[in-house]
Amino acid sequence: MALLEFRHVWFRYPNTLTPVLQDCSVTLDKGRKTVVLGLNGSGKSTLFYLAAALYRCDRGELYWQGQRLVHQPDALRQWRQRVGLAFQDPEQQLVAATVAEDISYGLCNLELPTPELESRLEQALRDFDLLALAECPLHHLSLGQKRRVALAGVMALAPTLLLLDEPTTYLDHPQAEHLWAVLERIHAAGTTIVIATHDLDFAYRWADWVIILANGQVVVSDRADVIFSQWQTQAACQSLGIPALLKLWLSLPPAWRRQRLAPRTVEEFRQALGELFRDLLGHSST
Amino acid sequence: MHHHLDVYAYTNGLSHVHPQQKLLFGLALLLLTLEVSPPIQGLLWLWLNVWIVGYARIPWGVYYSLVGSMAVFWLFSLPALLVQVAPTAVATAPGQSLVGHLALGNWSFFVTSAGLMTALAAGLRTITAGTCLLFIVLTTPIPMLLGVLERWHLPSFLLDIVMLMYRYIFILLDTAVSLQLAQRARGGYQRRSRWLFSLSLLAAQLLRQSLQRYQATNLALVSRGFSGQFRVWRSRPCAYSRRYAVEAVMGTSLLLLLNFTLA
Repeated sequence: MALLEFRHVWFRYPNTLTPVLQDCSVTLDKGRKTVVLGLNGSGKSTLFYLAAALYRCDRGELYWQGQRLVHQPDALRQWRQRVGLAFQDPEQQLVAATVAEDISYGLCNLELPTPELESRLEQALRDFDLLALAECPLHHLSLGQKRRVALAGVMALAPTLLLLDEPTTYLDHPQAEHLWAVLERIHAAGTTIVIATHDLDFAYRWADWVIILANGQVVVSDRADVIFSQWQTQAACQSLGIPALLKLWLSLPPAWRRQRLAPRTVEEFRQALGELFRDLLGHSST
Repeated sequence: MHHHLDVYAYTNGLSHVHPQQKLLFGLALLLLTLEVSPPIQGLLWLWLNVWIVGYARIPWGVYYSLVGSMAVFWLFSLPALLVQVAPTAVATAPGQSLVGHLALGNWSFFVTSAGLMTALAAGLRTITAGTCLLFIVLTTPIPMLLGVLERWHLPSFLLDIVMLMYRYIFILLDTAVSLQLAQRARGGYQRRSRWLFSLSLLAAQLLRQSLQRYQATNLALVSRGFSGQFRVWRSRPCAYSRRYAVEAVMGTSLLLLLNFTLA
């Protein structure tokens, strides 16, 4: 089911000549794990800013479950409550002095009664493992912790659609792994997640839908298994590089790979190799 | 240094005491400083040392360097407070108790004992009053102070501005340090002629980045439902301390009593 639709959207930043997005049409479906891939300057962040109704498109329309976005204060407030956006730089997103104050900022804007506000705040702190840091000033935190606070601040508002712009930038490997675990939990709880990333390996193992942007246009929007199976033949994909696991798979002799879908995780790869060797050994014994 | 001060505000020995109690105490002592005589100000300053170094356990090196920096401001103002210029006839007239005197032609630069006493009194008052504010800053985190001021019904726009400044001052400092490191890594600040140029580049970059940060903050506020007023939930995790309250009241009363006795 379509949650958010871009229909023929054009957008150009003031004082620039070229539009960042040109006739961009794409649908974000409910419940999917979508990644948006593209080179720098392809329009990924702008797509997210428009999706969160922070910018207004020059031409074209946005629809939420079939309802057109109207730039009226009440409609915008409602829209931004549904669409949560975590910026690429968490420092950019955090506006208050301490962790608890920052997470509560969006909740206070919803004018929730105090007991509900406190309960949602505590839940967000608990979900993102921030209880011990609740009273900590933001400038005492590491970037990984700031990323968690930024996410907690967005998730406390219980958005239906969560947009994450380059979430692993600035994170080391353990922090990135922790973030993926958190995202899995959020997705399992029913939130639709869309991630803009350069991390092809992550996209390869996580996504079930892939959107590829190039020069402000959606060049591919399809199921991840379909896209990755045609990765070598798609011109738009080639410029992005190739996921390590897929590269490894493609390095095997074509005869070995026949009839098999490319494995998406290390576990699947191990299984596929096991089957392959069993086939080869069975074939040679006969 | 700024980061350290902020860390002390969160980790000092009085951090568990309610911010309102510390703020009231600090402000009461500040008012007292402005009213009492210089000897009592001296006693008050010594008593504040007990609170800051003894009870709050702020390292004395940090504390006295801050007091020292206040003293530097006072030292810079000393010439204006001490030195008087007048015709030599006036300066050397009977009744003038001169401490020092330098005649240049018909004019004299001179220091009187009354001027010296005024400068010392101003210094003592400045340092004691500054120490009262240091007590508040070193023992109470700014967000907690804002919580108290909000309960005191200070205008919300003022508190919003202070909170945003508190949030962004550290980002600005970090940015400045990073930019300066980047400049030094490429030979900036090495020669006197390049020093000023590097500094001007730093200032220009800071301005540019501040404007970018301003735009980013606008987006962040809007994306999180900003509706014209900056509202956050503030916790109240601290308790009032009876022991410190009793000591504060008794000490202040004793100082007031001494002041009236000596007057």
